[in-house]
Order: sequence, then C-alpha cells, then structure tokens
Amino acid sequence: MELQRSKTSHYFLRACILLGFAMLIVYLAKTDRLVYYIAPHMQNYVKYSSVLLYVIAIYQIYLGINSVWGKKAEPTCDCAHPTSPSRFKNTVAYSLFIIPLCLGFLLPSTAMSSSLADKKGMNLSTNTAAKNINKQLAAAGQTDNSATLTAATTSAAASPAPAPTPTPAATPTPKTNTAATPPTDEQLKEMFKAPDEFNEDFAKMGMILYKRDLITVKPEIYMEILSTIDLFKEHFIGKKIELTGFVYREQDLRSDQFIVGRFAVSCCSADASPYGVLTEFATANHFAKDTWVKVTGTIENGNYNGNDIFTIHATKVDQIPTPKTPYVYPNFDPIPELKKQ
Amino acid sequence: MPISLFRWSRTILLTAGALFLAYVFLQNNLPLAAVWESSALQTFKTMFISIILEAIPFILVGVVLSSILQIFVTEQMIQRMIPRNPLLGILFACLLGIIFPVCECGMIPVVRRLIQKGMPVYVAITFILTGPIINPVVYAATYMAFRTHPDLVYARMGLAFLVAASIGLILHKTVTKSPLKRSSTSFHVIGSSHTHTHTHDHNHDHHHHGNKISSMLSHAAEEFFEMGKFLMFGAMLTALIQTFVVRESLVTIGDGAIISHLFMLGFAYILSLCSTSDAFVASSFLNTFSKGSLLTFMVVGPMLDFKSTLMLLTVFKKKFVFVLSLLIAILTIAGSMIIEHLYF
Repeated sequence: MELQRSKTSHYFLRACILLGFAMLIVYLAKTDRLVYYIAPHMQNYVKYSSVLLYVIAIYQIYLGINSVWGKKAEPTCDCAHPTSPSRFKNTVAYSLFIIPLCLGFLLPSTAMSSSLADKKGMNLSTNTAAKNINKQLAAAGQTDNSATLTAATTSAAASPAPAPTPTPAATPTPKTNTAATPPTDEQLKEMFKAPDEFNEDFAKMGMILYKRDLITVKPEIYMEILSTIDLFKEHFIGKKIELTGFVYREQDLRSDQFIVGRFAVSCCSADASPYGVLTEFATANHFAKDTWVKVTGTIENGNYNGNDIFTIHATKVDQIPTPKTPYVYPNFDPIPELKKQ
Repeated sequence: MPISLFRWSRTILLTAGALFLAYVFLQNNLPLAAVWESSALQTFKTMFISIILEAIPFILVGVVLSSILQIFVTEQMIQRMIPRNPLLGILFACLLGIIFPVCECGMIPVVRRLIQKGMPVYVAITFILTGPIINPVVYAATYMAFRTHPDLVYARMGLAFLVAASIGLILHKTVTKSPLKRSSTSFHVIGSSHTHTHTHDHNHDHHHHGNKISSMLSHAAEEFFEMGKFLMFGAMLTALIQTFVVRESLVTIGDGAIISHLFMLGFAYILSLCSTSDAFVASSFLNTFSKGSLLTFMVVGPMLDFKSTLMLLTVFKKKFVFVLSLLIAILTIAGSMIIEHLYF
C-alpha cells in the first residue's frame, strides 16, 4: 500500500512537470518571448513538442488516478526504468526539472545584453570572422557560400587577427564618392570584385548598396550588410548608414564612443555571438548600456585595439524600445531581401 | 562494487560537476557574489531555458521512437537479421542505428538481452557505440546545430563509424570469453525499488492496439524523466559556464592541440548529455574551441560518458569496460586530430 501511494505521487508529480513544460512553451509563445530563447526556424518544433508533452502528461494523470483507486496500472513493459526508493535521489532528480520551470515562470524574460557580450567577447569586424570560416571551408573543399555568414568566429578580440586588407583589384576611390558622378556598371564590377568565390554574394550586395543614398541595416540581413561594408570598406567611406542595436561599452572606449551591438543567433540563445559597430557621438555617454538605439551617421575609417575597422560618425542617436526580435539570424539568401527595400 | 557505484551515480555526478565548477570559478577569480547579480541570473536563465527548449523536441522524438521500437519490434526480429560474416556483422551493427534509433541509456539493457540471446559481443558493442550517433534523429539534431558547418556533421557520422568499426574488429579478434558478468543481476533490480517485478512477457499481453499505444505513452514518460534529469543537469552546468566564464580564458585551453581534445573528452564525460542534444551544446562552443575538439566531444559523448560507464559496469566485467573506454578515448582523439589536420 505504501509503495502504491509513492507510485501515485510519482505519476502526479511527473504529470505536473510535463504540463509545466508544455505551459511554459505556450506561455512564451503567446507572449512573443520564445524568440528570446529559440531562433525562428526552430520555434515550430518547440511548439509541436508542447502538444506531445501535454499528451504524455495526461496519460500520467490517468495512470495516477488508476493507482489511487488501487487498480493495477497498465503493465509497463519490461524495459521500464524503475523509480528510485531513495527520497533524497528523487528530490534531486525532480528538482532538476522544477528549477528551470520556476526560473521560466518567475523571472521575467529579457533579451541577452551587455553582461553576456562581456563574457563572449564583442566582435567588431564581421569580415574577419567570415574570412576565417571561408578559409576553413576552402580547406574542406566546401563550395557552399551560404556558410560564409555564420555567427561563429574565432574571437577576433582574443587574437588580433590581421586587418582585412583591401583586394588588390579594387581601385581606390576618392573619399567624397557621394559627390562624384555615379560609376558605370563596368566600374562597379571592378570595384566590387569578390576576393574569392565565397564572397560573391557580398560583392553583389556591395554593388546594390553602393547605389543607395542611405544604407539601412535591416535586421533581417544585419550580418550580411555589415560584412559587405567591412569587406569593401574603402568604397563605403563617407556613405550614410542607419542601424539599430543595444549600447555596449568596453573599458577602453572614449566617453564619446559606444558600440551598437546585436546578438547573432543560429539555433538557440546558447550559441549567440555578439557583433557590433563602433560609434562616435558627442553625447555618447548619455546613453546607458543596454539602451536600444537607432543610430544615423556616416561610415568612417577607424582603428580599435590594432584592428582596422569601420566606425560610424553619428549625427543622430535616438532611443528606441526593445525590438520584438532583438537578435539577428544568418540569412542564406540575402540578395532578395536586400532588393525588397 | 558496480552496484554501489550505480547507487551513488547521481551523488558522484553532482560532486564531479560541483568540483568542475569550483575549478572554473577559482581559475577566473570570480567573486561568488556575482551569482546573485541580477544581470548574471538573467543571463543564466536565458541560457538554461534556451538549451532545454532547444533539446526538448529532439529528446521527445528520441523517447517516442525508442518507445515504439521497444514495444513493437521484438529482439528476435532484429536477431534474425544479423549476418554471420564478422565484417558484414560489424557493418550491420554500424547501420542498425538507422532503423533502431535508441539513445545510449535505453541501449544497454536491450543489448545485454541481445547478447544473452546469442548476438556476438563484437556486433553488440559496435551497436552500443554507433547506435546513439549514426541514426536519423541525431543526424537531424547535429545538422540543425551545425547548419553553417555541414562538414562537421559528416565528420561526426564518419568518425563514429570508423571508431566503432575498428573497436568491433579488435573485439572480434581478441574477445573469446563472454565479457558479461556471470551472475549479472537483473538490470531492473539495481538501485531500484521492489515494486517492479518485470516478469511481464511482451508477447502475450500486447495484442490490443490501444494497450500498445498506452504502454508506449507511459514508457515515453519514464524515459523522458530518465534522460531528462541528465539533460537538465548538463544544461545547468553549461549555462553556468556560459554565464560566468569569460570566453578568452577558455580560448587558452581551446588553443592547445591535444589539451583541447582531452578537455573536451573530459567535458563530454562529465556532462553525460544525450546524443540528441549534445550537438547544440557543442555548437555553443564553436567560437571557443577548435572544430576538431568539438568533434571529439560529439563522438566520445554518446559512446562513453558518466552515466553509460555506470550502466556498462552493471552488465560487463570491470576489465572489459576499462579496456573499451581506453580504446574509445584513444581512437576518437587520434581520429579527430587526423580529420582536423586534413579537412578543417
């Protein structure tokens, strides 16, 4: 009888935990918070699993009710994992499930912020990252250029990588290229010559972006646009740019500087890497860290910690509410998205 | 000895985890007070929940599939299909996981029964090693986690195949006596209550279809909790590391050639993640560790980890488990270093 009772409580406790996870997923999905944890292309799988969790939970309740009435429960198959008689071990095992549920329901969901960027190391040169991966891919005989934009990088901050050098084929253009007569398509092709086959998409994007008066860094192709600018930096000096992100600071930044950052996520938040652009603005120190801002300014040449990077000389910085989708995701087909504008 | 080990497994696991964390904290001179800093707690929560949510669909698919197979496919059906030729047998065992995708935890009791019913030891061990890696569920999970590095997905499958096949061959040549423990105590009695007496026979009570589905559902719940607790613990440990350890301090480990492989091997052993979810944990270290050491992590993890060692010890002789572990470690590290050198 004693054993029967302990079995009953196991069934109900398990049902509660399973329902808890199902409810947590539904709750996060309903309040649009799932995006803080899971990349959009994975979210449907997570939503479907809440249904399955629910079904399994209901069956546990059914078994529990059966055992309350003393009915012999369904004969479990002989591969069943027996429950442990030790109260201590059971407590430990079940609390491992209950802790994340408590955290999930009780603490507010927030987007990843500066404190994590500190730990992961902010990447200021997307191109260095892309190049490293290209090299690895080239070595592996990969021709899939979609992989160029992975969020992964051997931390540029940790090992000062060689600055991205301008391609030898590129002709130096005058700095005031906004005033110059628009170049012909032939000249454009010469200017935006991909250094290797992995960067061809960037070269095409460069040609489209170059014709624009204002480069809006859309969140949908955030990494792709920043990589393009970084790769063909010398052609974009003086161009107007607009981007959004959260304010991030490193110790050795001047008071008129901050970094506009975004987390790039490929599957779930655990694989996020922070990317950012160094921004100069006279009253930069008025913006607290993790404030979401929209920065408008011109692209300039800069140098940070020995790396040649592009920076933004901001003319306007507006505080904005945290966007619904705070993270950016690699886009494997960026050009249609770019043309949509 | 193994029985008491198994009984203490969670305590040992927790202690090992705590020691590892203590080491990490001391390494970085982190003030423990920082744990309660709200932004750190927030980060920890985000990491913890996101790893769990990401893994839940895969663990559910694994649990449900394995329940279906446990209940609908009898061992006799599988046994009939094993080829007599040792090379073919090993090849068969390597590919068995494709149609019989069981996680490493569900695997060992099944395999023991298969050995008792006459499956050659080398085939069985090859299946234990590859089953949790070379199967569609794990392939999908790894592919999702490393969408931007498909080469790593193929390398994982390939290396697992090579390591398991070589171990299968070595065992075929060397093992003559049964490595099973003689009076191997019934698996279910170990560390268990006495409520479950598994005298139930598969073949006579499962005729009703509804009955099968309901026993599948209850089996799925059992397995979800059995696997889940290791996942939760692993996710918690990973989230803590991600929250408090500065990446650059890990990079110093990640840089050393053999050291990083050994570190990842130990890491996989301690974390004892399920093979359906370990790829996501591995991909979160993509920025920090070399791809070769991540390969070590993903190949060793499912073959050899804390919980599976404990389970192996309850079935096989100590010496056999020790030699097997050593073989796995050496072959995997050597293999992933060669692959790293040639391809990454």
